[in-house]
Amino acid sequence: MIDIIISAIFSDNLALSFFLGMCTFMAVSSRVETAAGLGVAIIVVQTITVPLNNLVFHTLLSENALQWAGIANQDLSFLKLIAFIGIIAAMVQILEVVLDRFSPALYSALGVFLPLITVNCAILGASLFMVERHYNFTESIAYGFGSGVGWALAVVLFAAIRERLNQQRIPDGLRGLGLAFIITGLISMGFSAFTLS
Amino acid sequence: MNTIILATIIITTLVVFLSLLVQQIRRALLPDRLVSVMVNHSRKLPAHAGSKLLDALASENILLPSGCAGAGTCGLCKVTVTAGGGSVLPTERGRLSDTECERGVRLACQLTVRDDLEITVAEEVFTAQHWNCTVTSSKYLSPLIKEITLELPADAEFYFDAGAYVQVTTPPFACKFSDFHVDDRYREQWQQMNLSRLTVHSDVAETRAYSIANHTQDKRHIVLLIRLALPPQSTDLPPGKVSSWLFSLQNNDQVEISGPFGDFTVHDHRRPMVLIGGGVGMAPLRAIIHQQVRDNTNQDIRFFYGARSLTDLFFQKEFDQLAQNNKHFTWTVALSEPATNDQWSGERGFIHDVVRQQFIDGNPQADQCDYYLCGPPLMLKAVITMLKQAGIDEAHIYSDNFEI
Ligand SMILES: Cc1cc2nc3c(=O)[nH]c(=O)nc-3n(C[C@H](O)[C@H](O)[C@H](O)COP(=O)(O)OP(=O)(O)OC[C@H]3O[C@@H](n4cnc5c(N)ncnc54)[C@H](O)[C@@H]3O)c2cc1C
Ligand code: FES
Repeated sequence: MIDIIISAIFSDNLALSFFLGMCTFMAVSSRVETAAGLGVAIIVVQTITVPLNNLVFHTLLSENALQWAGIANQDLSFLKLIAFIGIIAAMVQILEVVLDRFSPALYSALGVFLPLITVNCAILGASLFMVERHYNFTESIAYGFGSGVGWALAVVLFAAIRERLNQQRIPDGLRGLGLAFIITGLISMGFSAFTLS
Repeated sequence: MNTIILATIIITTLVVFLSLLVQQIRRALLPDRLVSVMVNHSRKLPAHAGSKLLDALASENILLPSGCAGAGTCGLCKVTVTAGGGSVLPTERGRLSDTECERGVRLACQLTVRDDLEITVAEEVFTAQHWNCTVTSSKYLSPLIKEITLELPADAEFYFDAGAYVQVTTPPFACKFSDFHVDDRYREQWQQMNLSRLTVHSDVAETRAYSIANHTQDKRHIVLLIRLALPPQSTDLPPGKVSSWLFSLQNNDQVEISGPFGDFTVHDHRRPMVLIGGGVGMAPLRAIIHQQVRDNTNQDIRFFYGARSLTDLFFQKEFDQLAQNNKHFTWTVALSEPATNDQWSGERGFIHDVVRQQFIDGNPQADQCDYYLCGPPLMLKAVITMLKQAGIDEAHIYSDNFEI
């Protein structure tokens, strides 16, 4: 369990080893505060959707999963992409409503990010990895949480660096996204050191 | 075949189930209720729970000023909430000072109406007028600042307090900088900055606030000082929409305005006034100075104005003359980067330093004055920090923030 969490945060970091969710990663990383907000939103959504998708996958989609309904020898796992996206979208919307109702302050801090997350490939990526790696339900909770934390960590780190860079003189050609991608590359090399142990 | 049918059934069921679930939860948690909003103790309006206060008021024809389409960045849609409303949201903090938060001031575009509310809005919201004005003159004051004079429709008269602003609304438009008329004096600078490559367009109407720069007794005209909002250097971003559109105007063009709005007006007619400004922050300060001088309030008025170099300085003659003819008015210009051929013998440096050296340091009267500030955001920040460090009470610092 701890293994899964740690490796999801560091060596298998979604943003820095798999470069998933890059568009959001670049777009909201100009300030640490916003990055942290988005990070928390991602952690919450990840921790909910990965286990939920695990449940759906194992009760409906995987090979012979439908045996409980008396249907044998069916493998619907090709449906996982579309099913997962639907579930993620629904969960994000429900989360939005729940936050809106019960915690307006949190809603206004995270609310703006929730729609962004629906289409974030890191979220879908985590669910697909969960299938590929045959995690069971508890493991998928751990993985969801870990991968969320990993992504949040990466975006906050990166935002902190970018905040600093904003005050530096940077050659014209490198300004903005150019340098941002180079830095992502460098941090990612740093993170890949975790794999070696 | 079986697989296809089964897959279709499963995915359809799943999607329908999820949609129903989301809808049910939404209905259970955020039911459509009507609540009431009491405005200025006199008008009770219905509002849908869950809608933004700004929209709720708008659908009842109370149009609060708004320059950012409800993004929470312009701070124009302020209302004071006297009952209900919950606590100030993080999205409002950026536009509200601590004292405002304590007084219950909120941004209407961020506040979601959940239960009955009582609010007060400025009376001017009910009295604000709406006009189609005609451009009667448009001239360059500096390379990036234009003075635009608008004439009201025949018979209309415009009453406003000095320091107020109007809202300008553009139609959908497209304009090219290469079509702009540029003053011969500034053509070289425009070429250096390569401005003629810029274009800007808007598919929808855009609204922005601009301070009124003319004398309050001229009730037939509205003079605006417009600074062309350029994109950050070495980016491909478009320039500012409304300021570009205003720059493109020629005589006899029509401009839709509403107003007056704003509370950046003289708060005390006895205390000495210190006005500190830069750039187009000149606009409201100029109106205030002329009003106070004409009303003969016998207040001492000191005006500090910061510009980069002589090309960025305007209305110099006007204020020199005013200072000559009026013993209560003095003004000081500071240039932060005078050009080599400027032959400048006046003050040099940033305006907050100059104000400190010339006025604050060793002046026992400094905390007896009211301070009115208007100018670029960085300048405002520096001046406010300086004043606070000098022990000036925040309650005597009034500032008009143009940044949105
Ligand atoms: C009370 C008040 C009074 C005011 N009085 C005056 C006044 O007297 N004179 C005056 O000149 N102004 C005044 N202003 C400011 C004015 O209202 C406008 O904010 C200003 O003119 C810019 O509006 P715009 O439509 O031209 O620019 P916008 O279209 O709002 O753009 C703003 C800036 O963003 C840049 N930009 C465009 N796209 C992007 C992007 N994708 N990413 C990042 N940046 C981008 C633009 O280049 C531009 O510099 C006042 C504001 C307030 C609130
Ligand atoms: S409309 Fe509310 S801050 Fe701009």
